[in-house]
Amino acid sequence: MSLWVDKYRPKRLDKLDYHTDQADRLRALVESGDFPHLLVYGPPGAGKKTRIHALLRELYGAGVERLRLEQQSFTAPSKRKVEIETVSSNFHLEVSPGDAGIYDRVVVMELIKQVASVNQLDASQQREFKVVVLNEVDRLTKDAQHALRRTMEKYMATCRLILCANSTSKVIQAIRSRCLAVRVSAPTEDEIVQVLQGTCRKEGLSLPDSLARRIAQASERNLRRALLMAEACRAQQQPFDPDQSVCLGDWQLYLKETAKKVLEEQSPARLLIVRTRLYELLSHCVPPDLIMRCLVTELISSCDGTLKAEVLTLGAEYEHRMRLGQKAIFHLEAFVARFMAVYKKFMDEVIMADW
Amino acid sequence: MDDEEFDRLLEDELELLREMEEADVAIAASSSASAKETTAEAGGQRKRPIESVDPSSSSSTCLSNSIEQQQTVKRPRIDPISEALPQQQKSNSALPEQSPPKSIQKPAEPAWRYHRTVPTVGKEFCSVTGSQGQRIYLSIRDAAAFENVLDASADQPIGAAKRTLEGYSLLGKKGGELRDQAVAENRRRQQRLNAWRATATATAAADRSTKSSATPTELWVSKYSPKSYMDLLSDEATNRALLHWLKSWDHSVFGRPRRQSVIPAAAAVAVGEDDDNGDGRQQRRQFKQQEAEARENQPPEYDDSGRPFFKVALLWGPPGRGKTTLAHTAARQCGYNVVEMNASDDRSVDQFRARLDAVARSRGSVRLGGVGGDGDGSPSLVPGCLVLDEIDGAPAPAVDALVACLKAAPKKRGNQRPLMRPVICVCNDPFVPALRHLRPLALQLRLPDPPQAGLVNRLLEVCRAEGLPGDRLAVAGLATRHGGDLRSCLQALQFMGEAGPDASHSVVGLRDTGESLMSILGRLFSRQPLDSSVLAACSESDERLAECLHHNYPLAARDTKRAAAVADWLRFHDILGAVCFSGRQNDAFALAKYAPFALLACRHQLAGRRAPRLSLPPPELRGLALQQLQSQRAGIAKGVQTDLPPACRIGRDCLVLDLAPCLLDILQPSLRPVSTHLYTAKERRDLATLVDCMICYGLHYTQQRLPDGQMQFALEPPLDQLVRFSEPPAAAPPAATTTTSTTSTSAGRRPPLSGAVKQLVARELQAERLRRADAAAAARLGPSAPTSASTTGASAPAKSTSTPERRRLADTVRGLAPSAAATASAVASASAPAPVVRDFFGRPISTPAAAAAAAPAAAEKLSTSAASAGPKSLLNDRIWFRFNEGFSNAVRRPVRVRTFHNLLDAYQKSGS
Repeated sequence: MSLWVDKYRPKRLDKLDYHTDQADRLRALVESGDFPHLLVYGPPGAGKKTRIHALLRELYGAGVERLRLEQQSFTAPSKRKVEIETVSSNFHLEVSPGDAGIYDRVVVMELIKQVASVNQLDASQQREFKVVVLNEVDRLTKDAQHALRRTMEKYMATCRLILCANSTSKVIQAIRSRCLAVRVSAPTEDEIVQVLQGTCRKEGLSLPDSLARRIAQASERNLRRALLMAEACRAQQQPFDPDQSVCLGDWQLYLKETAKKVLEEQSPARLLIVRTRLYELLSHCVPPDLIMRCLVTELISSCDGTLKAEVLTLGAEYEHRMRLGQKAIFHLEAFVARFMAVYKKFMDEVIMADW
Repeated sequence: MDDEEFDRLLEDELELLREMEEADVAIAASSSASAKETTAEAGGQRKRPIESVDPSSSSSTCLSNSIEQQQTVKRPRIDPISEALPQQQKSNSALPEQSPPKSIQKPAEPAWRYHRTVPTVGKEFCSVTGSQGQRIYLSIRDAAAFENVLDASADQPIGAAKRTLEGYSLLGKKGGELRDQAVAENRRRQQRLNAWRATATATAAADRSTKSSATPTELWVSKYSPKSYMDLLSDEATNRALLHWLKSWDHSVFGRPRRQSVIPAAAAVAVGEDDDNGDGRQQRRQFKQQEAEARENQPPEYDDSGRPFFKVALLWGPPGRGKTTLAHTAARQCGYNVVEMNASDDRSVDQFRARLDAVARSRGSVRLGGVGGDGDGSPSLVPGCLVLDEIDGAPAPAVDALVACLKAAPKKRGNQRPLMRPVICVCNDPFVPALRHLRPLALQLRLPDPPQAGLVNRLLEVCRAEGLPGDRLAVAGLATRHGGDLRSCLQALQFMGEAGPDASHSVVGLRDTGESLMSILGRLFSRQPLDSSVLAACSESDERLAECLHHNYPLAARDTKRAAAVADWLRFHDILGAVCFSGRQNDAFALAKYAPFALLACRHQLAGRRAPRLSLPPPELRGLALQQLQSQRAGIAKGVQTDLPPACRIGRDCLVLDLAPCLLDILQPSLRPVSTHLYTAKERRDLATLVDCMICYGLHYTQQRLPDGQMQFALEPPLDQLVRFSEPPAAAPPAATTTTSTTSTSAGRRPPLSGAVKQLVARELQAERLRRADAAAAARLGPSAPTSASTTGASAPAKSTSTPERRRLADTVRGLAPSAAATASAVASASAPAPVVRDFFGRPISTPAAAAAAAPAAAEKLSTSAASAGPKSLLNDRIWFRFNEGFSNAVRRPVRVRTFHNLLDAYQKSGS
């Protein structure tokens, strides 16, 4: 437990650093004795998991922190073995069914059935339900989500689900309506700065305010990233220097560089160069929609004001099409090509106007 | 060409004859007895061999029916086994390549002769040039002699005609009259043809109108299939080779005397892969030489038992060329009854063997019910010939049964009876594994594409017969489109005939086109007009083509606008594919037919006068390779994920995007590569944190041997592969931009830990692991055991601990020190104030500060040597020093370079 992210993760609802109102309400929910299925959603690094674990601890006490790792295997209808890792305590079970790929439906059904069909032994002392935490629900296939729908109602007596997702847009309406949605918004920069300062104080370090703010900005309101960055800064230089550089992730730098290449020159030859860079990014498991988003952000920041709206529209359209398609590279490249065409036309017009 | 010309001449003449006969049929009838005699006499010579053997087939050559019937009445019944046919005729039919004697060219007028060359000197002749430009010479007889001839043949029909219709003979008229007659004749023919056509169209139209109701029509393919050998369209050389082979069975089947003939050149040609001999004369000579050699090298034609050497003929070629038809026709031609076995029959080994026994191995004959008979109902006995159609699809055991049968000796009695009748195997692909054993035992004949001219003529005939308006150009186009596939040509024709007048707009599907990917790609990039075959080809290799197009289009696109348009089309194609094949919507598959159009649409943006240099995408840029790379890195991420403690497990995206890059930085604190007991308290704490962190996240350093033999520490699992990006080496045309980009990328990045530090960390990791394992064991043994072991910190080996257990541990740790060379380098760099930054080859990078530091240390380098000094010094100097004792924290003795010099001097002295 040595990275700051994990070391100083708040364990209880009342230790949370921000969204304290929400924490209070969650506590009230638990104290009422029963609670509905939860759908916790919010951007990455906002503290969804932290809240879920704090909630579980509130429910069952310190026992939930004794975790064990299990490999479970299921047999799909096509006789194929599906293996998946679960993290469980005596009171709950946590799983990312998205890891099973297209067989996630089997995992969801079997696993929940398995957990829910067994009652708690000592119901008088504990809650009479177990909790199943499903991570990355937005990665689930439609089939699995529909399977989940039925299971949620059927095993309501012995089992509560806590779903965790980045966005509700990919969770079907039926599930959304069966859950109490809890939105965990990303912390503001001020809150991140506070958390960083507090963490450094606990480590016995003093973090200059300007550096903390720069880290907060660079982290894009992702607290996990901010903490990791701060620790990377510490590894880089001790004690902190207010002017010290903040390391971005390699993929971020690479993407920025790619955007710069697009802006430098607009030609089919340059498109080839950009393509190899896109390939490189994709092969490093960077999600294509993230590539698209970052590219658009980078390009817009260096575009003329009149172009911004158009580029944004383009980006939205191409991202949507990319979700429909199969080969991300075709769509990313098509976007780059289209942007090049638009940008070049605009630049040519500007030059003509200057004449 | 010889035959064609011959046919034409004969045809014209016979037509004339027929008209004459129509004119005076009564006279002919009166003198029928003599006519019979004449025809019977000339029969063997004049008639083509086919007609004589195959009376049942309706002769398509132009003898009038009356003569034909007279003949058949007169001719003895055909029974090849009994020696009913006159010897002359038989040998004639055995040699189809032998042209009939020239002298019978004008059967009605034996006085006429024509010559191919200038006749012998002294005789009068006149030359005639044919429409094709060929020239023949007609010898002229004097009138008196001709009269004699006419008188002599006075009782023959032609003579009779001459006598009755005064002056009918050709020479009896004046030139002008003759011409008028010819013109009139032409007109009459034309009228007749027109009338015939009109009725044909009318009937065809009537057919068409009635067809829709109920009447099923015969397929044109069977309707116009060749009825006799002469109708065959397939390559003449192959036909003859097969016929020749069949004839060579005559000795054993019919008991005819063996014919010692030259093997036709055609056989040698047909056996060879390609029948295309070039035009050059030298080539032709060369070809002839090869042919002669081939003839010498050929196996003997007959085996000991009088059967041909090859018992089986393997006829192969692309579909629709007429292989089966050829096999049937040729076998019938040679007097066999054809028994066919094809893919639709049961082809189990037993069935196969039974059929083989019944037909080919028996010495008897097959009862030919009613077909060969003359209508009197008595079935004739004809030997069988087995045609195994589509044998490439037969099960291998069945083919092996055939092979076993081939190898059986004729003398041996018992189960394995030898093959006594010809067997013709027909297949598309002779190279399937099942036929491997059969191939060397069979006479292999490849059926090439039929000659284009013949094909077009035949198709035109069919068009005419069916009342289709087909002009030569259109039919030729059809033939080209189907690439010599006669069957599909006919089917297309029938389809168009049935579709009615708007058939010209109908689309006839093509079967698989054999066009390569590159050629299709080339056509997409060129301005050559496209035909629909490209569309077919596009839809065939849709995915691959899209990938190739995607790889190549930036080279061909002239500006970004076009490139963007192409990219959009490709994107559309991708979505279409995804929608069609995802199975999300059931009816979406219907959209798949539009996918190739998306590719064709790119052509509007790309096609240029000159196609760019196209290339297939290199393997590393193909979708599959990308996926592999991706899944390999995903595997690394998965490895890291599984090693995470349960409480800090995170999803893959978080790991890749947030944790891994920062973790890699966190794992590289600035540590001095010196012995740990020289560390300050803060440094120790750093090291402890690092080690703790690595253990917690399941990371460690392993030693790897580089290709050059050096040892290197690498992180395991290889997080750096997951996180670090390499500048693409291929896509770096201007050197300047690349260098700036690399420097800017790596600007914020600190160099990775030096080897020495890595080794140090690795050692600490091992020690800490042992310590934890000990502590865990102790905790399990008894709660009273001191629990301080795990809390002593990572720098424990440096601390003096008195317990023997501790010392043992320290010893183990010391034993773990990986290699002496690495240790030496660690010591060496320990003397330097800052960690030496090394490049790929292990050479220190000289920054100004480092250079300054290196100057005083230069002397020391000699001593500490091998690891840091380049391989060059290793090679040049005969003597070098290095530590062999290993690494020790306890004993350190400063050694001066001077002592090494002294040692060296002493060594050199002693050596000399």
